[in-house]
Amino acid sequence: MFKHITKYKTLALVKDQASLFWTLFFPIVLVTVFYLAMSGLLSSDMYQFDPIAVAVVTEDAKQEDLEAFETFLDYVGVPGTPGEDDGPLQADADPEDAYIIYTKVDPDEARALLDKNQIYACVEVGETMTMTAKNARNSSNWRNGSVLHALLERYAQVKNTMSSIGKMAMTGAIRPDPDFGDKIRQAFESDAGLQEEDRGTKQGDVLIYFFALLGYLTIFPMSTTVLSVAEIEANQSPRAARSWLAPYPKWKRFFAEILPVVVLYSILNVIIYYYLGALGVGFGSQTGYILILLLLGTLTGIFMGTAVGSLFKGTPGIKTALGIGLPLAMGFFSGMMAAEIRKMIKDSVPFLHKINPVALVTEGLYSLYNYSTLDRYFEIVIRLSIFLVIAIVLTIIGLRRSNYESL
Amino acid sequence: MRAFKLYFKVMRSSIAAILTYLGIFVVIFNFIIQAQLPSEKEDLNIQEHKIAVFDADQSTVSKAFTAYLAEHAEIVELEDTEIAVNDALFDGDVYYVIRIPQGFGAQMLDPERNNAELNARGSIYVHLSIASAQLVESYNRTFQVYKQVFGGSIPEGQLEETLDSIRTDLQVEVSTRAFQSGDASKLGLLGLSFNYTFYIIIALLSAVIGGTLISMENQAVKRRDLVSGIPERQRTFGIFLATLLFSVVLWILLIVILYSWLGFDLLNDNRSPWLIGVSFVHMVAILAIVNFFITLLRNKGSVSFFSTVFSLALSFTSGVFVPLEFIQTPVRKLASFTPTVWAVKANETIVNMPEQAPDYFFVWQAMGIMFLMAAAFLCLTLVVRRSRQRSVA
Repeated sequence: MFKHITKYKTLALVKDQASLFWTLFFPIVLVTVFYLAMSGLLSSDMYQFDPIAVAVVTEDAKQEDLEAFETFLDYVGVPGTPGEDDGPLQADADPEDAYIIYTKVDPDEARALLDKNQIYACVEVGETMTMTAKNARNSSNWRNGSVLHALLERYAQVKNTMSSIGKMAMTGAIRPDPDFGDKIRQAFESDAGLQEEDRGTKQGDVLIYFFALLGYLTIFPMSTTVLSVAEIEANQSPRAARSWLAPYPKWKRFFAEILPVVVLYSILNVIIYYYLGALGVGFGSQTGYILILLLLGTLTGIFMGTAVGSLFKGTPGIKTALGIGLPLAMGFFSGMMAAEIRKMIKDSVPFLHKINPVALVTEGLYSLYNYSTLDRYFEIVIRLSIFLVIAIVLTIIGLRRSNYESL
Repeated sequence: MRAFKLYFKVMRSSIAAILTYLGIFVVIFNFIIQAQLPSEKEDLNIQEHKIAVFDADQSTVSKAFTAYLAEHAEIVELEDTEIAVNDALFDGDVYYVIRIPQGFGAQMLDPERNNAELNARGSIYVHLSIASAQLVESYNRTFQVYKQVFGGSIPEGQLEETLDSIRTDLQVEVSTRAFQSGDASKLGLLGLSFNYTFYIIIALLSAVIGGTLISMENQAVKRRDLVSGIPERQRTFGIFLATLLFSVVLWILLIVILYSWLGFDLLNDNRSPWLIGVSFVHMVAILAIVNFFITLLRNKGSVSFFSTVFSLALSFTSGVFVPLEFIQTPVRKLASFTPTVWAVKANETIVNMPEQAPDYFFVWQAMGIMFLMAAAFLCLTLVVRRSRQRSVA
């Protein structure tokens, strides 16, 4: 009987061509669109630093400050000219190693440039340095503030140090020799000996969108199985009523019905994984572990659907809305639409993050990509397995005690 | 008006689904908006340095260096394991990890050297790595300057005092000011939130209107209506009017929810009506497109798939979720044939509109393009319906 139900369920799935088309078409199209939209992020150029456009106002500066700041400007930046048609400030020289592109203007002009977004910030030179900028939102240059602030701090620090040395020389604490000035200049230009790795080249962090997409697609079968419980409850569909004529245990009937769905979606997710690979999105070399995680995610999605379907006795409309909406919400919370959301959820609702299966699959894929050990991966596999067991138990609870008479 | 009434009668069965969809979307976006609400302070928001330091040297110099870092950045305590460090960098709990190797102090003091070996790892945000590296460089350079002050090496007896002088010299203040006040930057968030409503509108209209429209286009229902004497033209008009009314009600509901989150005082900003106008025109254009595709679709079972693909594809390629500059140029060009990208661009223009001499030409242009798209898709829908009517006849 198990074989019989499985066979005919498979045939029903395959012969319902409209549904089969959408089942296959949906992930392929989604992945393609996602790739086309997000592949720009795969290029690390997106995370490279571009010089910050700054307007410098020197109206209230003393002559000595002015000279010192000009030397500093020559060291960290290149001059620029406001672009035509209110375009952004353009460098007059090659800004290759520059941190800033600057233009010296009066306060009114600086405000106008800032108002028209032609510059990021306006710097007023004086006893205390002041930087004014817009509180940018949803913009790729919102971190410019940190760099500019650090640069201005550095200028103020150099000024402080020079002043301290001057005082020491005046009080006779030190006796500068003739080449003292040159030595000090060389010291100010010394290299910090900093060996940096991973500056803007961490592909794993960029790939988080694709990890979350795969996570979402593994849970997506929920939208199909949320309605499949109706097919084994005799009071919810005529097909189920007919099949109940045969004396066969409900749980066996359920698993026979669900097996073809598991196989179909597992194959589909493997196809999606290789399809993404063919598009050029590499998930690392641990294919076996990745496929195990995807299978586990698929099973979780399927049984989450059956759990929701069996526990909520609402109309098919609500179930469909939950089946579509919940995986989307989980994908959203895992960073599928914006990577920052994942962090926001992790910080403010850590429990939600820990039980979100899409987030678990996402983190599992990330750990396989980024870590040399499998400790984190196995921790995630265990958590996802617990989630799967809970979903199965909830399904069984939802399905029990509604046996019908059979012939 | 019979078709008009019938549409809402059919839709009544979907009320629970509509509320479920709406609930899920509203909860998601409420969370995001609340998390991004600007603080009332008028200062500029600058990303704070978050640094983790692993000091294997534990010398006087390395301790002074760590103390300096603690004065200029938030020092994050981390377990020294690969997973802990990677997780912290990935989650943004720390932006820069500095490893001070053994011998750091001796190398710093060495008269033959002008630096000491230091290892660092930055997060993906290269800006924050640069800012943190500036801190390190500042310390090293000031240290080297003081070495030269003492003729190339700092006398042991004066080390503590010199380290204190270095820290004092490095304690500086740069004042920051926001060009816009907290309230003004709320407008930026309003623009962003309007972008999110585009996704909700696309998803809801395609899912809900789609399902109801397909039920209305069921051959049995259609024939019954036609037999009862309603001309096809009147029926089509009734259905279009009903979908428009439903969409407008849904749109108003979303706008009210949005302003109730961010504050109705934002309505006083003269840019608010422009955002609302763009949102309305976008809703009309999306309605026309959804009507067209649903007229082609016919299969009720495929509506939920279509709705998900359509809404996500449109939103991802149009800059609703990811800033437009991250999207590749060919995709952006392709997306310019959809109304959403124009609405997103118009919102960006409105939010960043200069206070002096604002120029709304582009916003008018974007709204015009969206209207033309709506008209084009409406005509296409009418053509498809007419050809279907002929084939049925």
